[in-house]
Amino acid sequence: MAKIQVFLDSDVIISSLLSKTGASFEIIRTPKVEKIISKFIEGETREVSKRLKIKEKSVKKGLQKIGQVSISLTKEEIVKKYKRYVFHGVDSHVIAGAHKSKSKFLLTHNIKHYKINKIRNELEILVLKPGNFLQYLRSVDKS
Amino acid sequence: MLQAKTYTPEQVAEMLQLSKNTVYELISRGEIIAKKLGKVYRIPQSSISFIFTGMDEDILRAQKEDEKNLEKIDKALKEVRKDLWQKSRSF
Repeated sequence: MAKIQVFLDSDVIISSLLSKTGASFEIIRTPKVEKIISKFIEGETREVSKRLKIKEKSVKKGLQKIGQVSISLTKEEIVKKYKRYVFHGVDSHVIAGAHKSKSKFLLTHNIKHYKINKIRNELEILVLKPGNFLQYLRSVDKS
Repeated sequence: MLQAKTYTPEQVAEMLQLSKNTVYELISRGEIIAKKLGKVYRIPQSSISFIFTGMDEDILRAQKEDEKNLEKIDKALKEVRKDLWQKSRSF
């Protein structure tokens, strides 16, 4: 089975650093999934990790397993193009990253921040919680 | 007192919109974990958590494990995201 590409919101990466038995860690760990983030998400992850006193070594190790996409847009461009998919403008960059990386899935614990039906219908990206994505993986796993 | 909910194969067949025989087949393949009591089966709710939560029991447990930390993650992330967003011009 070809690898499935997913774009990760910062809360999923941070969750994976806080619990090795959670759904987020399982997603980071599995080789079946290609994980992508943006430079901005990386910055958020590093800063939140500092505040939550997560060891820098663990953060570095976790981020090594994740690829990166360049959004290459100004803030104004992101707002203009992607603000309509979120309830708060500050979350627009997450949709921009998922769209620019051509990911079919955006994984986040905060699905309520996103207009998931509009995102699915117009951008063809499914916004899911990590647990729901793991269930999807199980449903398509032929082994 | 324990009050774990269990179902008969017939009830599960109805909930999953499957035939009774298919449910017995799923039990024999181990896809539905059931307990045989004499000649009858009883299926614990945990074996069919998918019906209630959309997730298998182990996945639901993993999702809930993540959710234990979400409050503090959300709080920190909300502040950091707002701060970095205000400082950033291009992405």
